[in-house]
Amino acid sequence: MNHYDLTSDEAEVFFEEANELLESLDRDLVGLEKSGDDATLHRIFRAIHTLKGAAGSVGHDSMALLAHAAESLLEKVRNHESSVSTQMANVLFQVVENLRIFLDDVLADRPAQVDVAALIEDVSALMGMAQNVASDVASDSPPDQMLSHLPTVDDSGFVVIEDGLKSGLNLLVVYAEADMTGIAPLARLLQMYMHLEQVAQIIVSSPTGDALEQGQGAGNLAAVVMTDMVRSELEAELSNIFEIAAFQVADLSSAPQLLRPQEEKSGEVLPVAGETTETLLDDEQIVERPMEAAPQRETSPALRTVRTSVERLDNLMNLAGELVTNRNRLFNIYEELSHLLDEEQRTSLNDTITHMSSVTDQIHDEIFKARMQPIEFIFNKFPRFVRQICQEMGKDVALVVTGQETEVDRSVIEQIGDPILHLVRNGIDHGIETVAERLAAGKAAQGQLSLNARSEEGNIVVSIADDGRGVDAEKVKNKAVALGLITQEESMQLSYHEAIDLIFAPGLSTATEISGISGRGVGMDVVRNNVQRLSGSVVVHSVPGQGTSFELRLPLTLAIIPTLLVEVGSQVFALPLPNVTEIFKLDPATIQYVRGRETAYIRGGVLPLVRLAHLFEEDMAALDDFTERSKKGAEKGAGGDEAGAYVVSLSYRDVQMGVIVSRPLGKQDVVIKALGYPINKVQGLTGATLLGDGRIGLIIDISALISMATEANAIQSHRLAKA
Amino acid sequence: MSVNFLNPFLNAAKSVLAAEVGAQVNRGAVTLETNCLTPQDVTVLLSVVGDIHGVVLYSMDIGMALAMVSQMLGQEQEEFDDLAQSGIAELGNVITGVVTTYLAEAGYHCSISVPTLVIGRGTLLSTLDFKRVVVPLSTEMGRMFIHIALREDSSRGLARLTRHSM
Amino acid sequence: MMQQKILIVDDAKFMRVRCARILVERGYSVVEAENGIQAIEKYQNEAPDAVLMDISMPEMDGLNALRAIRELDPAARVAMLTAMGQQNVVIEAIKAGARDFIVKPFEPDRILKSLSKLLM
Repeated sequence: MNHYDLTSDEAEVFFEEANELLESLDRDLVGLEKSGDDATLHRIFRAIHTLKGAAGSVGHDSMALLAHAAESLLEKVRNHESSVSTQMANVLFQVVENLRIFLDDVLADRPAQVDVAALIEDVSALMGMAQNVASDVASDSPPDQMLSHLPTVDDSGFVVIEDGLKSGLNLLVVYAEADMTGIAPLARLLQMYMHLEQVAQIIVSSPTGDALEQGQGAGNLAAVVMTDMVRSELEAELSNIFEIAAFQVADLSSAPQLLRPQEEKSGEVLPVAGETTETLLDDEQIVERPMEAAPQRETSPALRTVRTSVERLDNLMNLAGELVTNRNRLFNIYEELSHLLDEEQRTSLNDTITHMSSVTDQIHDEIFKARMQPIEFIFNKFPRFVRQICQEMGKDVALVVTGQETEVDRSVIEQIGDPILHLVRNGIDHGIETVAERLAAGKAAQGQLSLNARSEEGNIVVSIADDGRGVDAEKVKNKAVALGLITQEESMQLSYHEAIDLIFAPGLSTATEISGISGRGVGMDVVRNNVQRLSGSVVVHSVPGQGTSFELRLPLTLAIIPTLLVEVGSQVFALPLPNVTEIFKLDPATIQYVRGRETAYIRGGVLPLVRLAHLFEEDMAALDDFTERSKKGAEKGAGGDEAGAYVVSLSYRDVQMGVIVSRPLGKQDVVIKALGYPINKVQGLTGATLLGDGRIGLIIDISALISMATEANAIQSHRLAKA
Repeated sequence: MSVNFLNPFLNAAKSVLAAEVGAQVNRGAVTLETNCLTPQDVTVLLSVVGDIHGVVLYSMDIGMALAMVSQMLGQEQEEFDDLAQSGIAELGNVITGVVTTYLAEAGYHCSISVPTLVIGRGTLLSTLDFKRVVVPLSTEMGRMFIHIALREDSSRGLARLTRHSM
Repeated sequence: MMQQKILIVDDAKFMRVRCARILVERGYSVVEAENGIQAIEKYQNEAPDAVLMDISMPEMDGLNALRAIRELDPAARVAMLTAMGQQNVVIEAIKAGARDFIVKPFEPDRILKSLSKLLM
């Protein structure tokens, strides 16, 4: 991270926590506007305060300024000097929206993208204050920064501090940040630590000297020391160290209690010494440690939990996947060897493998569960979105959310948000009528949109239902005819359900509005394509006059897919199982050339054939290098040996295609690993997986494979004639 | 696979040549070679040992070598004398040093030998059965060829060097 | 004012010449050594005000020479100047008492700044 004081591992925790805070803010702001109880207000205040501290500590100044302004405004509300108005709620929503953008700044490691001066003025205006908030914060932000990194001292440390203070030593706190763009920044902090050791007694430091020697730490150092030097002397002493981006020394001789652990501090009355930066006290006297402490959320009980990075879980998942493949391989070896063993050996080996196998399955399941998150993470966004969409469109809609506790793998969480958003938008935009229309139709003035999640047979099903006007089948049919998607005759024969399913056809539902919420509006065809790409489906049900519902179905995880493993030469490819329709032995005699392309006649239909080896010909060297196979093997398999070859028939949407492979190896659930450079440049692959025998299987992207085959003009998409 | 080390080298060469000789670098097509190489006039040879081991060669003609040394010294260098030789060897050393820093960030620790200079055309250099990735770099001063013949220590898994993209 | 004397330790002649040129231009006087062993000798005989030292050198490397020099003179002001910027190397050097660590390629200014801080 160049622009912000954050290492990548901290960044993960930072984003996760900041996101949680922003989501709780969304929820609570909606609640505040409705009821405005003190508990909600307090949560909002805490969230904003924590975000301010976090922004300060990573060095995003405008984020800190904006949060500070909002905090001051909320302070007024809390002291009953001001009350919550719609206008204030709007401004606070804008504040949260901007904080979100700032978070993206930090995520993208780019300088602040948005100028929030105007918004800060709006906030100040609401406070009825002419004073310039910005200049106000500027003077107290550095101590904020230090405060957020203030180490705590235990009892034995306090004994040393008290003795030292009695004998006239000073209690100083040093906070330094290494220049992360410099060379080996942590070494500079070690240098500072070593220098401190020479001139002072270190009571506590974070990270410790040992950790720094091991090269551990996050780019900053906070140390509490006793020394006979005064603050400015120590500051001068340490200013000689290179490549330190920022450092501060503060004298806490008169306020050692600030170093007590947090729970002891609250409730204590601390001396407030005006606005000077020397006191190190902010107006709240709350010491936040946003990088370490989990945010206090009244909604969740204090569980005994450990935070871990997603990357680590992904690694565990991959390792468990490898265990599974090795287990399968072990069974094969057992089969092969069993005739060499006597009865006792066989039983004992079999028992061991069986036990190991069940443990492997359990490990796999446990890790899988650890990766699960409630879909709440996505659903929490919606109260705010719905509110905003309604405001834009002048509609009145109540959102009913159910099943938010349903858990899915985080790979799905990352992908499912956009499709849901589009469907929600669509429901409000096209489904729910205006208040006047609803009243005229004898409906309640306020529309209802329900968002539900449930799990069903290894899938997550999300339904988005509105009680609006329903889909007008005639209108859809007319448009489809106008667009040339179907003929007039065909349109006459369609059932209501078939007709409304046409809204997923390209071009039929393209939204024309440009919205501030979801960016460019996209059509239903894009929604369906994206969902299908994730091996999911989306269907629509509608009753004219009563409403429309969409049902979105996705697998619980996108990290593991069932595949058919095949060999092409010595290269192993994994074909997604749902797309595999049939495997048969290739009879060279049945191959016909249709317009220069190889095709096979099966059961009266024509199946276009494609040779994987040819398709990846140009990349074969890279693939071989990647999987460390010899080139010779691949060529051998690619060319001759026709008689022993197999055809795997694949279907994707309504296209059928056969791929010629040397031999199928079997069915296997594989864990997708991302491909590294240069192999990730090879078109037609979604990822790789490590097989039990140590080989690497390349996972084929069926949709890309088909378009490659089509583009290469080796194949045109053919519909298999139905017998 | 040497190709995994391509980006660290490209980035290092780019930044070092920009800093030391103010040269803009464009990379040409990368090739994979196993046969002997006939170097240009001047070749700097460095060994890498550690988690990654092998040889790196920087080969160029004498005109480019002199032009670069002149830039580095801030004065015209007309003869390829021992000062110029030391300078060009140092340049190879610095580029490779920056590469090892990148590699260390990716978790591979290695160090580099003192550079060796091979002067004169017509010799044959061989990296034996090591495959070499050859990267031509063009600058306004001429073309330099980097030959990378490196292997990961076999106890390690898949390479993790994709983050230093150019 | 007395000229301040800097010991430049590098096995590459080119680096010695280049650093010397930068330093002499700014009014420093310069002594040179080609490896760690020479560096220790020169440190004792010439009593330089500060040392700029490479790490990777034949005979004796810069880290060992740094340790030896710091043993002779715990107040020795040494900055390392090297192509090896790996964190573990820098930490090693800092632990051995290096006051600064400059990684090649560098701007002449970086060396001058380092020296002026070192000599404060």
